[in-house]
Amino acid sequence: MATIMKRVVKIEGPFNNADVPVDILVPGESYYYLATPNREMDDEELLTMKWAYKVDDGEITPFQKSKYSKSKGKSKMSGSLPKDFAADRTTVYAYFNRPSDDISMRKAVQKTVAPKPAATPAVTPAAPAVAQAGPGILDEMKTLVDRNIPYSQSGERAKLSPEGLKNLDCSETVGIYLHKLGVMPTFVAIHTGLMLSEKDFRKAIGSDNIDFIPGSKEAGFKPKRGDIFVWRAGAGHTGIVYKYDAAKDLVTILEAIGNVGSADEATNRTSGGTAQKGCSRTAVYKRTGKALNAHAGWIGYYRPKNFTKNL
Amino acid sequence: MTVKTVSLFLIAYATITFCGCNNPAARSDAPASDEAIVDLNFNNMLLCSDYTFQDGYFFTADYGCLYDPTQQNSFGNITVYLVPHKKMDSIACDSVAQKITSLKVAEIQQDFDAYVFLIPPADLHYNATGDPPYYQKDNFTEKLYGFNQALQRWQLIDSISINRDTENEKEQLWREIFLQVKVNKIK
Repeated sequence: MATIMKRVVKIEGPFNNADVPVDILVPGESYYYLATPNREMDDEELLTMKWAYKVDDGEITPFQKSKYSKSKGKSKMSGSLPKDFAADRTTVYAYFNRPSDDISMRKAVQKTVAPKPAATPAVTPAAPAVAQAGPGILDEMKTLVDRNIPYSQSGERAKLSPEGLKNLDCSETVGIYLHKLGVMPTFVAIHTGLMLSEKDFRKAIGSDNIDFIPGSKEAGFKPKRGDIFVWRAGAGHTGIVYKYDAAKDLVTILEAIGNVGSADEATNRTSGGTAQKGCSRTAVYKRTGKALNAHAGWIGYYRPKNFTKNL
Repeated sequence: MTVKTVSLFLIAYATITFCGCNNPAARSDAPASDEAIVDLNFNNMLLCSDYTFQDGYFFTADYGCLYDPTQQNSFGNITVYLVPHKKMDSIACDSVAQKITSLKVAEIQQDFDAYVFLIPPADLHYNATGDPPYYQKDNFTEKLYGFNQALQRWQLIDSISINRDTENEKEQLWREIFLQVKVNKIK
């Protein structure tokens, strides 16, 4: 009988010393990850599983000093971050043949602000209300949507791999933004049905780091850079505020939209937005127009907070 | 290649040429035969959603009329386009767009040329957690119907087969060229 080719199907972690999964890695702290193979393996075979890491967008590098063990049929990799470790994010891979973004775990890294005193830092730091140094996530998102990636819900909706980014839909685009920003610890698929209230939205993204902005349903509300709009009428739409032009009362939106386009396409085309439809794009809408505040089912704006990245 | 193969190829080519979908300007909307008349009645779809004005026509933006067999739309994913009989300026169009959904179906059919673009349920994937809760299959067919005033019936005008991965823009082009031709005929 042929042996099933071995592969890793799941990666979990990082867990701290109290076996609690953490959202943000803290330099100087120890963590472990677990990886599940696709079939039962004896100890010897399980320990052939390999582990690697990537710092920010650098090369994928096999772990050298980490400790490999096993735990309940899973491979366990333990290690600690150097105290002076400086990066925006770290991605850990588990694999048998070659690493893949599909089986990886990406986490934000707490900034090393100054030499640490003796006190141990909190696992989840009180994140700053405003940006720290580093690349701006909104600009990163703009670069992404300006690739005019075809609109579709098909394929992987919660992966940042090339396959996951082959198509984009509106809430997937917002999910990527929240994950990159660090307020959605684990990148999961969301949709506007989960964005109807602050409580639901927080539950969907797995953190309390998003607020519904009181008054944002009203026509007089002026959004800020980084806000997220939502409307839902049967189905819904969502996007990210890239810029608000108070003089012209226009909002620049990062979104993924279907083939038919928005209800304010005329403004979009005459105000410097991308005319292309059926794809991700930068659009420009009237703040009080039919694509935003005047849309049926208008919910309002949400605002991420305590993010660990530069907006 | 044998003579028979060549003949088959030519027949196929001729069929494709004469049935081509990407030349709306050369197409007539008058029903060529009884087959073009369909039993589908899209009248209720004309009031399924708000309208937006753009490029000389009114349309149901975003997702159009959502397919929901438990409600009024059991046809599939529908986008409705209404082409007015007279040209409109940008000021008039906004107030007209607001009024359309307060009109009766017969009034809409009288004041506008009504068109429905339909992707049937068989070509949709259901996705409960999506916006909307379905999306087109990799290969899907879209049909264009128009309301024939004289016959007081809906008729099939055209259809197109799309490979979503490679021909997404083809669908938009097909739809928008058809509408632009109609708009250009407005006096």
